[in-house]
Amino acid sequence: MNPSNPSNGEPGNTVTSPATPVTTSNTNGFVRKSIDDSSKFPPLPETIEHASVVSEQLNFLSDEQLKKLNDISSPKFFSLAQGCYLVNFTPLGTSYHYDGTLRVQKVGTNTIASGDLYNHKPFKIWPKKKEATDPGSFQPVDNALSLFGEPNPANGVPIFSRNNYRYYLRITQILESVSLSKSFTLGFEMWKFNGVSATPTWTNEGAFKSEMTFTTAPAGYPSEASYLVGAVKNSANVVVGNLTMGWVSKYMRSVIVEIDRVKDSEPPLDSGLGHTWQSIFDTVDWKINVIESNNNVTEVSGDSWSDGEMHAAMLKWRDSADLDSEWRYHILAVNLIDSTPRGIMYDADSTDSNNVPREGIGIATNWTIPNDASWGKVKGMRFGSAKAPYFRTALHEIGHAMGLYHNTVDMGIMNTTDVIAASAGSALKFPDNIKWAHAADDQKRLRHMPDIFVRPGGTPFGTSYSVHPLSPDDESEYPEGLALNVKPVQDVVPIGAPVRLEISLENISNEILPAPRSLNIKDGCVEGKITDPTGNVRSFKSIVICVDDTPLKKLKPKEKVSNSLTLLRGVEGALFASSGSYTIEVEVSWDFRGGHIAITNRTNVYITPAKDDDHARAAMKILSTPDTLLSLAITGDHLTNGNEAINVALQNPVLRPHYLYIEAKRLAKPFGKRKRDIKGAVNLLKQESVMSKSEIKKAVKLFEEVEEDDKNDAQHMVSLLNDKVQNDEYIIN
Amino acid sequence: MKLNCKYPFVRILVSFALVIQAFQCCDVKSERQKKPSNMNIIGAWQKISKSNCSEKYPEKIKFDQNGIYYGEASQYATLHPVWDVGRFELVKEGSVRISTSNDSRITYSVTLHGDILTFTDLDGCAIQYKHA
Repeated sequence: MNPSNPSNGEPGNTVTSPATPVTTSNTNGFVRKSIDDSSKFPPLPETIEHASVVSEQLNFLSDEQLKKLNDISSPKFFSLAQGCYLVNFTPLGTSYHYDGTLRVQKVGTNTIASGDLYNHKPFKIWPKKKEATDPGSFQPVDNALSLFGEPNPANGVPIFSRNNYRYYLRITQILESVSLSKSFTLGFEMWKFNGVSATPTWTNEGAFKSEMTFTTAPAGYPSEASYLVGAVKNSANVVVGNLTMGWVSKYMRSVIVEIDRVKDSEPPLDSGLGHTWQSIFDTVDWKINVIESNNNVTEVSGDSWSDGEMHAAMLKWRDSADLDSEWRYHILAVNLIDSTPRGIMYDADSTDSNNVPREGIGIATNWTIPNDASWGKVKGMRFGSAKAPYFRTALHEIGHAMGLYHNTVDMGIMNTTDVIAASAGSALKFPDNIKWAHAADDQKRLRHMPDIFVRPGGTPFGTSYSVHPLSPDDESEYPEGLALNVKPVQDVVPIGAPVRLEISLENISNEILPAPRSLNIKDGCVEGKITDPTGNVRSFKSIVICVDDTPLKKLKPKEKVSNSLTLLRGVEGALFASSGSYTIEVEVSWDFRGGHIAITNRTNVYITPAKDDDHARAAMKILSTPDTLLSLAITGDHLTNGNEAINVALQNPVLRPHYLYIEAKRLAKPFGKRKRDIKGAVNLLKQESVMSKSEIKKAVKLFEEVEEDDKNDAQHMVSLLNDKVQNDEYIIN
Repeated sequence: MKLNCKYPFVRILVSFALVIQAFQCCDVKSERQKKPSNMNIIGAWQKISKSNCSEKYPEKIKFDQNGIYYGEASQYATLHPVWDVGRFELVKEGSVRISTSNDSRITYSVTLHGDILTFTDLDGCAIQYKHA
């Protein structure tokens, strides 16, 4: 696990003097480094690093092999088995607790984990509805805890009620491989789920850690050795509750897929090439129980079905509908579908008449595959008889029901049939070019996205992946020899103003090293997180996703790549919405030789409260107008809401210096019929204005490209700006 | 025959007139045939609409010659784009059928004025793009 946001002073983390490496060590002694120049904090006591005394070979033993070894050897080795753990988190001083699951995935010697918590009140104060029972019958209880509604660990992956869903656990630190110690630190963020229609959907309630210790499992757990207990501490190191986790299944999630069909249509059970539902989902550690049910569903209006008719048929024909006790997805195989040729996940938007999204899909057996060469070996065939693409479409649509969207990174399950067919060639004809697996990022989503995102009846189809939390993975490598410097243009900033940062990636080694050619946030290799005074975390990224590979350059010794960031808003809203001390963590990451390289560093800024009512109103306007970000990043007269907010800020003497460049940039560019107003832009920048180095350079460029009439004004400004860049002075006055 | 020999320039003029008329007919016909090609949406487009109803549509979209399109979301979008990747086809003048993120195929009305491409969805929402 690669803790992207380690807290100072945590076990295993050492904060040293400014601009020296921070060494991060996990329990296995594997060392990663990052640079910290947080000079405002005194150095904390160094923890004792211990190199691993465990042979590297042990890290590659399977869970079964390790168990056998422990049976015959002393001392014992400790490792987390892969799969699903039943979790109980009991906050101190409460009459309720949380049950849930923790999913542990092992990739080589790395571990990726995530979890979900559901509220559980064992003692209800509200009178329970009496259920009609046969007075003569006796219902045996197989587990004493079930009397209190506790999940039975012997039943494998537990299923909880959607109404009780409360938290996603983003695991940031965990036992990575094999250890001689029976304890390790579990670090995690608790992301509170605010509801499907709430904005934002999630709130990060901060970082927690728990020293987990292996102990003997209580009765009922399938593995005596895979049970752990620990006290949970918050970021202030105060114990807030107790956590237990016990292994219950090698699978991470367990679902039912029910197939109903009209007469003469084929059930999509396999590819005809050896791929089955279970074999496909084995690669993501999901247990799939396929139930072939009704094979004589009656047609309601001929052989072609509307989305609404399929939804109604699902409600009528499925065997069970309790999504709080099982995760059941429904497939309806029909002859033809009105809205699409092959298949559809119809259970969204207006078709979702019961307001329970992502329960069912439809697939058409009688679509005739076009008789042209791009369809390769199946051209002209009836779809139901073309087993491979037919089965693939069922997998694809169920993927949508599991919350996944189209994914074109490979020819895998969530790519579209059209793209796969169009990508086939004469050497590898369709459908032989189908990849019978989910793409790597979709595999991670299926394993680690929040329960409420993947389970049927959870969040509606269509919410962006980026608004949901997801555990970090551990595949990034630290670039030895490079240092990331992060420095604010001003470390004290009034509320409502953007925070400007100077960042640079410097080669501090004596070797030539590869590095991104640009640290422009738009190029996609720079992102970060901001922790506010209350511990809430917000993230920032480029407005537009960049899908191209990051262009690299060879960085010579002492050479650096630099840029500036202007931060105001992120995915979760305003980044600096209240006064107080903020920690800004910047990450620069890029793909390299099939792997991922990442380096982070942090800095701090202080946001001052509103000086007076006028400042407060201007700040409120800026912070409550999402489009301000667009006006900052894109610029243009058409961004009326953002420009209006900036104008309000310009009227305020406290915020005015921070927005002068933004307005000057707009004026200096022509828009539609409006000509560029160089005089206006120069007049603005003659005043005291806060600018980053990049903004100064951009302004120079703008003024260098002016027409003859404006040359005098522009040249004076260019020379003033150039002086400021030379002298590292970013406040123009 | 005599007449033709006597007034060769008349024959030439008449021939010219007939040829020009024929070309004009062909032009009219080809103009009619060209109508769909005037609606050439191939290429990359950048969304310029700012309305709430257009939020679910991609920030950028690229229509390829092979009938496949690729949409790209704004990083700050809270919704996955309805047009993420799939097939598109101009079904008749002013209409385009686009496969959507849940594999439904929906027909939208579409106009192209200058370099502004405007789609109108079934709810009446206009989504405008500018050539990128």
